[in-house]
Amino acid sequence: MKDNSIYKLETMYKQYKTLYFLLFCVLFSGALMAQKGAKITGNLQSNGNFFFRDSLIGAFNTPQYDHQLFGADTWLNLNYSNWGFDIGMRFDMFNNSNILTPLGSYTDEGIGRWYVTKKIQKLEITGGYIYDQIGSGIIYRAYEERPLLIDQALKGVRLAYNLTDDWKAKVFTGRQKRQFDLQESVIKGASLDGYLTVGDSLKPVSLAPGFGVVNRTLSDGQTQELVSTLGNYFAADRIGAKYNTFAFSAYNTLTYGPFAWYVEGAYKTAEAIFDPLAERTNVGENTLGKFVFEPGNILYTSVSYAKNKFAITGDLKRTENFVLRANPFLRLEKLNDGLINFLPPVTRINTYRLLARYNAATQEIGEFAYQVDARYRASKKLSFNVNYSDVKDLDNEQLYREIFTEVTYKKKRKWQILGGVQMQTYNQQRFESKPGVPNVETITPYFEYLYKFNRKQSIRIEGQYMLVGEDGKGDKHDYGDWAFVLAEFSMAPHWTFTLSDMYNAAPGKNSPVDENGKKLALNYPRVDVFYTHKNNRFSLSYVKQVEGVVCSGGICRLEPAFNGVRLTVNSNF
Amino acid sequence: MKNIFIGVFFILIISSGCMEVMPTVLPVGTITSDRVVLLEEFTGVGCSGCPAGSAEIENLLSIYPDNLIAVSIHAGHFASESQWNANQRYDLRSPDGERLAEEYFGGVPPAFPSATINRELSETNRLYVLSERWSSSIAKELAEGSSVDLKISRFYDKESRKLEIDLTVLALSALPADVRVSVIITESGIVDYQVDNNAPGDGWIPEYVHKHVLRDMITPFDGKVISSSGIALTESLTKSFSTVLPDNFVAENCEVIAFVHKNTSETKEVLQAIKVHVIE
Repeated sequence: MKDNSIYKLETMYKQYKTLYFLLFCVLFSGALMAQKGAKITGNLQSNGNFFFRDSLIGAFNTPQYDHQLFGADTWLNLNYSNWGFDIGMRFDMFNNSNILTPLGSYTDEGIGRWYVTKKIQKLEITGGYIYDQIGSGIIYRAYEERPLLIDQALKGVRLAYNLTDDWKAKVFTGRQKRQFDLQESVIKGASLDGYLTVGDSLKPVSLAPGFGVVNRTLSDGQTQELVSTLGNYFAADRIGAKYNTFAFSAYNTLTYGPFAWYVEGAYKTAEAIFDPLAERTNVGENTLGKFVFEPGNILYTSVSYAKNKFAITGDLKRTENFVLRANPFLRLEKLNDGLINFLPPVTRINTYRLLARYNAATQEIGEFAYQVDARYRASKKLSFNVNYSDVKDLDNEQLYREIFTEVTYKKKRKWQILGGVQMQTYNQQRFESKPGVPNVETITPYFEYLYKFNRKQSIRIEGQYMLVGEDGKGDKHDYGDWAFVLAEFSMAPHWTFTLSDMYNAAPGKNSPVDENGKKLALNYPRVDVFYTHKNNRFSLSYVKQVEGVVCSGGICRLEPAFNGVRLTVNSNF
Repeated sequence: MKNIFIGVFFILIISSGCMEVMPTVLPVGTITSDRVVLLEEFTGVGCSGCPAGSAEIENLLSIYPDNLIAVSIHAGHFASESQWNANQRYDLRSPDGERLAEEYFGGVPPAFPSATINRELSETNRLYVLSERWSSSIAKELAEGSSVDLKISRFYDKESRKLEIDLTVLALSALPADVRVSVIITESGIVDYQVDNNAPGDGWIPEYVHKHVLRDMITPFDGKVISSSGIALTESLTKSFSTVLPDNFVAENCEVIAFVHKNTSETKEVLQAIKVHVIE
């Protein structure tokens, strides 16, 4: 039974937390601005979506389309520095938002983050919500990706100590943030990062080695839930459970002249992890997906060489059972929920609309991926880029393959044109859990033309055409062929106008159909107006968007179709 | 070298808990609870992960044969016509199921297959739980005793297809005035298309057997108040309900499920549930 007075205080806090926050901001800024040397900075990001129901493209059957009609997300960040302290706070607000779960609605608001940092000689102390990482993030990364509402800050304490000018040790402990709540499990970790040079002092080999360890301890409640679940498994599948899991990592960056090599190896102790491809024994037919008790490991390396007009980069990653979550059940609830670490993607990150339609999400359970990227600048006018990437699972099943080419030609400062071809193989069954669908094969030629009328005015035109393969029945894969055109007119420094259309030129198996079952060749237009004035940027857009996978740094999720108006405000101060 | 020693020291400190006493995983033993748990699953013919959820329901029914009742509610995006196979035979949705999700539970689950377990909020304050968490949620509910005892009898006339139900509610602790009863009809053995992650070919199983499908609610979707003044300890009340089974319901495959539940803004907890076949 909760103490009554504490309960009342909690209730009051919940009711008035927004008011308290605003009051605090006013008092805080007023009092502190009077101090000499004080510095307050901040930023605002606000998005509003007006939802227009369109059952033809699948923009329906969610609360926003059916009755809420409007959703908004806002982040207001304030930072204050003085007397060697860095203090910050962020107000987050979500009103009927679909950003947390694309098919659901999320409403809440409150203090999304606060922190205090103070440096005392060689020791730096940080308390509050902390973003940080060890190495490339393979064993630990606390970070934020707003488009996917990933906010994995650690609420806790971090101590960092400069052992020498070149060596730094760090320890931290806390619990992971989950919206306005915290995960139950406790995370603790440490790392040691250094820098040294060897060899010829004029042309030295520099090394940046590091070591890290992270531990996650499940709460009694989480462990009990896991034990209870595993107890319901039939004997053939029953496994053990552990409170603790440990992940160890060693990494190094070697740089020698134009040559750079990063390598990281990590090992994770065995625990119960959910494997969506493991066969589960049932009363009836067996199904796929169950907890297995396995250790994990990963090897990641990236090599680059750049000299004169030529640059080449190669990446390789092998992952096996490297699932590291704040709760073993979270992978089931939301793919991106409770991630303690970050597995770097080893595929090209595309930006053009159709080239970015199919993306390879990183696979925790198992993948072998590599890519090579080569660039050559033949002259000031002409340059080339070629990229090849390949991702397979550990049973050698093809998950993704991409061949990308690009040629850029610049005519002084007046105009520029680039173009190329992209070819992809995309395992839609694995990445989007769409059973029975063949790998999507695409060939996409594209171009971009930029013409500058004068120093302030320019126009940019994009064009892409995605040719998609056919299955055994003659149906085109997924949504079939797409054409995309975009025209963007810029009037620096204030205005940008963009008009684009994505046209389902040859509809495929999953394209919408009319009442008679005939495939429809639909247009998905978009109109944007951007206005920038000093530190403020506004945008107003009408968007009709087909269902697709949205990725950010290899972390992906399936987004449903969207039809509506978007308003965004970004401000820095 | 000194720095490497410091790093190793840190790692040793962090790793000091490697040798833990592991929790023991034991199979489910004999169930002594008098509680019968209601699992309301949300599913759809276009949900490729849902057959695994259905398989989990059958696993759980085999483990808790006398303590678990399952209802499969086809509602939301994955049950909508846009997700059907071109040769789909039946619309497995029901107006009451849709209203239950939208109006009573505050919207369909964000991910399928999800279920409510006794309509209790989970530790993360969520009404819906995904299939891997059903067993632990059921175990938790069974650990609590029941505050209500239910008895059910039914009479079914094959000619008129009229179904009459008598439900007796015995309060094992005092029940407030807002406690309600819901009576629903489910049907199993419906053969129709279902998409499945594990299915070969195009992913559709044409002869999939749908079980525990919510077909109709005899009471309003949000239940019917048992007594405007509540029920005192050891007091019992008998409520009668009747309906005529539509022609497209196969009576031999139908079950009547009745359950008593709270109905406040804080909780919709199901206190006890009972089921009976329409035809034994």
